[in-house]
Amino acid sequence: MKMKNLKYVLLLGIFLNIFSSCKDYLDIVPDKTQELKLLFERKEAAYKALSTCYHYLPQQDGVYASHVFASDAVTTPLAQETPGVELMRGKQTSDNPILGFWSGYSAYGRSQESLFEGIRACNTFIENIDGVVDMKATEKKQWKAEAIFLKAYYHFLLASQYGPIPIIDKNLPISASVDEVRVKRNTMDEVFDYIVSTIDKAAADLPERTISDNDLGRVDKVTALAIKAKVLLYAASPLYNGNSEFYQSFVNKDGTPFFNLTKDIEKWKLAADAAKEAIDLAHANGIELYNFTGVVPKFDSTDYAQPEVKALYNYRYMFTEKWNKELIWGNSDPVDNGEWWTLQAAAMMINPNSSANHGAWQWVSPTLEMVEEYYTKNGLPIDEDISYNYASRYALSIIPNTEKYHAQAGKVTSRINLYREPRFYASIGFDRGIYRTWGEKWNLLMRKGEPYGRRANTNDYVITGYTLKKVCHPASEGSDYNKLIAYPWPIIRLADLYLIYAEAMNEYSGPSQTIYDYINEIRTRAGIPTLQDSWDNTAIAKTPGKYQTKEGLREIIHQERLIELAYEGQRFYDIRRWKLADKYFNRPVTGWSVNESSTNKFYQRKIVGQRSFITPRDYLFPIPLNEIIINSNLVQNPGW
Amino acid sequence: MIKYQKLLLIFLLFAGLHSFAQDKVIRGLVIDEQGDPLVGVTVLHKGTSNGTITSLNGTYALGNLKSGDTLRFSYIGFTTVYKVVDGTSRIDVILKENSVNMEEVQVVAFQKQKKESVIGSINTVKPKDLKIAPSNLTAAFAGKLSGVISYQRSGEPGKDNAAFFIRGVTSFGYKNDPLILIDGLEVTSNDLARIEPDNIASFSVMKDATATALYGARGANGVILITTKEGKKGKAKISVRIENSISTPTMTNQFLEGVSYMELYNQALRSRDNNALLYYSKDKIEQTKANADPFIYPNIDWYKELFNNNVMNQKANMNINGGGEVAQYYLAVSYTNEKGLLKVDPLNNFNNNIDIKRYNLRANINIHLTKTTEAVVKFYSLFDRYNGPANDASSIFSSVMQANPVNFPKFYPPDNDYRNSNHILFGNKGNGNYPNPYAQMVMGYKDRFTSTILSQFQIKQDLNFITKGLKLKALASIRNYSMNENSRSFTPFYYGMADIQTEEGVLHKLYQINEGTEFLNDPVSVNQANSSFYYEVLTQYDRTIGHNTFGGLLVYTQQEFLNTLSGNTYATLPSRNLGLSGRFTYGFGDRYFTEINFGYNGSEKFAAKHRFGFFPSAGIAWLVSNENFFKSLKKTISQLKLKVTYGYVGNDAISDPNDRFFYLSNVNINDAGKGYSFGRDFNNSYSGYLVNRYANPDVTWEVAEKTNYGLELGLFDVLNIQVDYFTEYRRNIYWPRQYTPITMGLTAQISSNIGEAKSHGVDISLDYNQVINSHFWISSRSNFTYATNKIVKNGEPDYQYDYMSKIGQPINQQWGLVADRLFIDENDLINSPPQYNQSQPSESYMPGDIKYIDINNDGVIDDRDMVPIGFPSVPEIVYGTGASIGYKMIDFSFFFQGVARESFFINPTDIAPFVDERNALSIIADNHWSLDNPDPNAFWPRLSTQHVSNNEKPSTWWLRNGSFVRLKSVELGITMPTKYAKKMHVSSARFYVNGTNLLTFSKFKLWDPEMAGNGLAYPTQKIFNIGLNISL
Repeated sequence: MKMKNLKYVLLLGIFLNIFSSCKDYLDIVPDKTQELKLLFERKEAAYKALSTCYHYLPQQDGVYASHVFASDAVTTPLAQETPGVELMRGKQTSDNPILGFWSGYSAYGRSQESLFEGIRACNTFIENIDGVVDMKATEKKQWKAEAIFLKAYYHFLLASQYGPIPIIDKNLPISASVDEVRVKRNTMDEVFDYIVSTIDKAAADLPERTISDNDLGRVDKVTALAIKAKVLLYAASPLYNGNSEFYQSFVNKDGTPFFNLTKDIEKWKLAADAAKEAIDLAHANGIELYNFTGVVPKFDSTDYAQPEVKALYNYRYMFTEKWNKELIWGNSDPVDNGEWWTLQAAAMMINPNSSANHGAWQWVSPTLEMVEEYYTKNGLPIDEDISYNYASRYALSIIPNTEKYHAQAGKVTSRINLYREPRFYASIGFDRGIYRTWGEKWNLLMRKGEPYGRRANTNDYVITGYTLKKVCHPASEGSDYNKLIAYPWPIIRLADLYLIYAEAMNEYSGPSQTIYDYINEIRTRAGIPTLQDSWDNTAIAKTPGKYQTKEGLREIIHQERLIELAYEGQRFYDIRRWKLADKYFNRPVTGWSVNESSTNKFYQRKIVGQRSFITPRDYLFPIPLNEIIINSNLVQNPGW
Repeated sequence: MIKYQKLLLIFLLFAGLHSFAQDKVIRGLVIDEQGDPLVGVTVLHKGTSNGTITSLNGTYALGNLKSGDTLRFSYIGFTTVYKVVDGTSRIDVILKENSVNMEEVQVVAFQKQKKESVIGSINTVKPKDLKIAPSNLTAAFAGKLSGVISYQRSGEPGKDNAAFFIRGVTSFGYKNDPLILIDGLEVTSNDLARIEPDNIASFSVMKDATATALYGARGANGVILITTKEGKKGKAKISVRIENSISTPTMTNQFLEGVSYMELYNQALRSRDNNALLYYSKDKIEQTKANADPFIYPNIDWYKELFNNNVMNQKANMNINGGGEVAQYYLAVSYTNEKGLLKVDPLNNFNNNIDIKRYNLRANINIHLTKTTEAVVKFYSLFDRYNGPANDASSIFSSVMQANPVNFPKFYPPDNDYRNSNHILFGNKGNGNYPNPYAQMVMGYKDRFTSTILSQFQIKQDLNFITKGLKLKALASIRNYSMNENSRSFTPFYYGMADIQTEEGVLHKLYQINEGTEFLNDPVSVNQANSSFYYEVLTQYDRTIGHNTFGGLLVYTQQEFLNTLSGNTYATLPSRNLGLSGRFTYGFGDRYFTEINFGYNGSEKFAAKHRFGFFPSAGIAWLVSNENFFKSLKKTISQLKLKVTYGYVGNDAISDPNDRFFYLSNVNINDAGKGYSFGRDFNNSYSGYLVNRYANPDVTWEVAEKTNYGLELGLFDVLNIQVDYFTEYRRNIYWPRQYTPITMGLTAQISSNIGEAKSHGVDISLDYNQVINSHFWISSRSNFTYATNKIVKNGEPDYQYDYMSKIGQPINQQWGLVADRLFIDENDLINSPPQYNQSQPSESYMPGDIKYIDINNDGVIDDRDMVPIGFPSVPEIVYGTGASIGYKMIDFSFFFQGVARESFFINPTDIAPFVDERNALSIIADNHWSLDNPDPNAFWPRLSTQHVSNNEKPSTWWLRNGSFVRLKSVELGITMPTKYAKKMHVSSARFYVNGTNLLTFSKFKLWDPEMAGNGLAYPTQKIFNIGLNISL
């Protein structure tokens, strides 16, 4: 019996032995697999974490992701509709958000991921960067400040679309419960306060100016202060400041109003002060309005002496010359050279003499509405310039020799294309106009069947009869994608800061000489007379001295901003912030009859597209429907 | 046993005292069909316990009998025979072999048990019943296995595996198909498909918790357990089977012929736009009608041009079985040749048709090393040479839909200009953007060699010297699979026919569209390999003491799977599993049985603290018919058993093999798509990182809680009924937390064990076996399986409308709009809520398009009006019934099979006619809405030459009932009478003809209903087969 028991024990022992020795059998993952923490051990790896924080910056030069099209200033043929155009046509719905930063958006080429992912990346970076072994403390501090700034900036971009958003200052753990993940929206003021204080926190640790060639594109103190000014400008603007008209009853689940309901004029002061501080720091770091200093091409060697030609060069190169003196912050990760989805390709005109036109799609079409926005050569709006026969602006006209720098003298075009300010000629190409492009000087012939007009059976054409020059580098060639010259898309530049200051200051305390000075600097660079020279000239100004009243100056600043910053992706946000979308975004899109070849028929004004803007609904983007379903704590924006 | 015999003796003595009439002694010889004596056959006076067993030379003697008594001769592996005692005192019996033993023992997890003591729900099938004409074992499952839901969607050779689920789909997690074990080793459904029924010793389906608990980690979805035949002592027995079959589609799709195509195309154009220019000119239509020039005015029946009507396939196999005292062997070889229906162009010297040659070798050898030690070696290899088209064969079938009959011929004969071309001048037009199915088919070929090799070694040791009834077994198995594939193809040259306007009229001239290649392009190669290793140590103890039967089993298993997946580090690591399982059985008096099982398993996938799962189960059974009080009923109710089981089984295959190690995050640390550039020239670039999965250390086993109520009923010794009712609750299904909002900022969805589902159902099988006399036997088998399920929890958000929720709905439920009818006219359109509109007016909906019901009454028809419609996509009911009758040398059998409670969508996007000038099914010409015939219930809405997205939404309009019944098989066999066989030196020979999928009954007429929504793919096959089976 004893013997038997022993055998049992032996047998059991064998089993248990096998079993226990095999527990390690299941431990098969080697150490140091690619886990998140490895990113924060060495500096080279941490760079990847940092670049991921930057990665979420919207790519405005990607044609299908760009907010440039979210505007009444530009359109496309139906077949080439970009998401921006769809947005303007009122196709936005809560199940199908367009260009929304909340969920991000897919786009041909490169999609935009949700900015909440970007915020998470920044928070992860901030939490972990201190663990890197081979970095100096100061360096870590600076990098961390960059991530803090980007986090604030992403909050700002979200707020500019959705208004009050939930503030995500810390990452929630993966194990967070259902209740924890259901975050609530903060009030508008809390959001702006959070953004501003976060920028302040970042600015304290940022270097004043990034100067190393390798680091251009990284944020610095000038950038931070400039963006802060812009944030404060938004906070002071009518849409967000005391907007009881729209948001009287827009409250959170607990009854807290999302918007402050009484206007606080001091907010303009904060914006103006911030702008001033940013301008001063920018100046101190050598940032100034750009004037062309490059080599003038042969074909313009004599004409360049003309101030209006020089102004043209100033304005075109200001936008496309990379890292020029005016740029405060540009996106240093433009659509890769050689990639096909660049905005520039979509805007480039086809060269009939080139054997290849891969990089020239010729379908970005500025609207007639935007054409009318530009000043006359006297620096006045077309309906305020007595010398500019406004009533017959669409009439046909033979191009006089005086206009030869911008149009083909002796040929016939619409009067609307003549006698305009240099920024118009720098930005927009028209039939019988002149286009400095592909390193050449072209005479545009744009009626049907003509070299630059609509060719048969193609969806690549400019539906309004206008082409967009501003975003194309003058030396770009459309024969191939890698012959397009890439440039950092300006996120903020000095002229913008001047206009922020001018607008805020005027709203706070009315017209002043400082305001005039800043505006005049921009006008001078643009090649038009100063405010005073234009508006005090009773021979041409219909409303002389308009700039001397707060209301008059406000209109002037608005228009100046819309012209100066046209096609930079700002118009959509500016017009909403001023609560003027009803006026601008509900007009039908007009252009010329591009399917016609005879002069008379071509210059028939025609509706080429519709726009739809529903007030107040469309002032704020809809939160994606699924998000509302998932998170019962979120209140949908009014009207959606 | 000795004790029993003593008891028996005592009983017999007493019985003898009782009746003096019962004094007859019957003697005899029991042999098998080959004439060899059978040792150990139980001979029993039916209804009593008076019995004996045959001796070493097959003889027996049993006393205490009288005329009219029935003797029952039963033997493991043979059909039981009954003989009535008459005047003679000698009864010799020939027992027929019955490869699966239905009567005495049953295969259960890791061992065999006396059938009457089995508590778990296990369904055993005779391998003979799985013998079908197609060389795919899985195709035989439907309706033959009670408790298995099965269907076959494609008829493509080599890709025709049926889908099968034990007790339906019970989880919506990653793996919901059963564990398949061949001789203990886990294999794929492909391996299962290729096994020869002739080589199967037993085939069992294990369904409930007690039957599967020992497979703890892997048994939650049920287990299919196959053991292969082993050698038997005796001289070599050789069996040869040769088959030749003709295979043809059960149904082919009917397309429009050229002239009607063009007329209808023009009609479709005008249907949407009154002013549309007619695309096909009157002249072209007239000329085509007149069969003018087949190259200028082609009228191609692409289906006919591409495919043969039928194909011949061959199969041959042979097995040898025998052995001496020390060693026994079972050897089997088989060869299969399966071909497809694709035509081959004579200009190519390669074969683009499917041609599969399969070689299968199996060797099972048992060696009795000592009296108590046995070693078993099993080898198996499968070599599969596949030759087929460069493009997927199913896509070639679908491509017929992509080309219309009149655009171009399959190729042009070279004219003067191109007479020196050394290539086929494939037809096309315009810029060559039209699919030419013929070119796609003959442009190249693919060959593939697949080999599966399996070796197994086991050693069994009787440990009677330790204690009686103790056994030890150790087993090691290695399986290796490798595949290499090369695809070689030309770039086809396309030519078009240009119409050139000349003074004499229109001149038709061939022109080259593109420059192809006359040489084969670089091959596209794919290589794959994987290996699995399996070890098992098992000890077993069985003992009967008095009325008490004890059993114990303890088994340790360890398995590893390696594979050549490339990708991230995690994907390349092996999968491992180890476990300790046990079973304890106790029986009392052959009436009461109980068992407790457990599986304790570890999986490499989980965090250390969740790595092991414990899965217990228990069951009880009551064999009522063995009770004393039941004796009087035994003549009618030969068996009555009631059983209940309950327990837990696990599943660690809860996600894709790439998505393991849930406790670790999965980060792509070098993701160029998440990077950014800095610097003056934007070239100071850094890639970023992407979190593909966030670490979640809490992820653990998916667990099934199973309950089974079973009833086994035997009537008159000829009819066996087995009914099981089951319920199952599945917890911890690994599923995305859909309630995580975007504001969380995650780049990957978080999944965790949040899913729950429940299911229930019933399986019934009926077996009828009766030998009427030595010339006439009849048997029948019917199965019925019903399984339904419901999602209980899936982490979904609170939907706006209740019907959007998946909770409470079957796992495979389909959602769609509810179609009312077709719009009648413009007014109808205006008075209805807006539906799916498009920016292009030509793609917008009009009268004659589908009108949907606004379910939520919000005044708009959109995706939020989609409700659960129809039955699930996996059938809830699968059934089959059939019978076999034998009379003298002739046997005949048939089998019907059906499915019910299944729905599928016809995919309107796939069959929308005319889009991009594609083909049109004839049914659309016959039955569509038109202005002349505005039938609001026509099959096809208003014609269009473009996709009308409004009509292509999933809706009740396209939903069809997938139920069908088919005559799955019919077989007629003739067995050569023994005396002739003897003369020909064979021990038996049987010639047979059979047919598969001969008739189908269904409301759905467009294509074979079993293909469901997949109707344009490689069709299901109807097969006629002749075969010869000879035993030497």
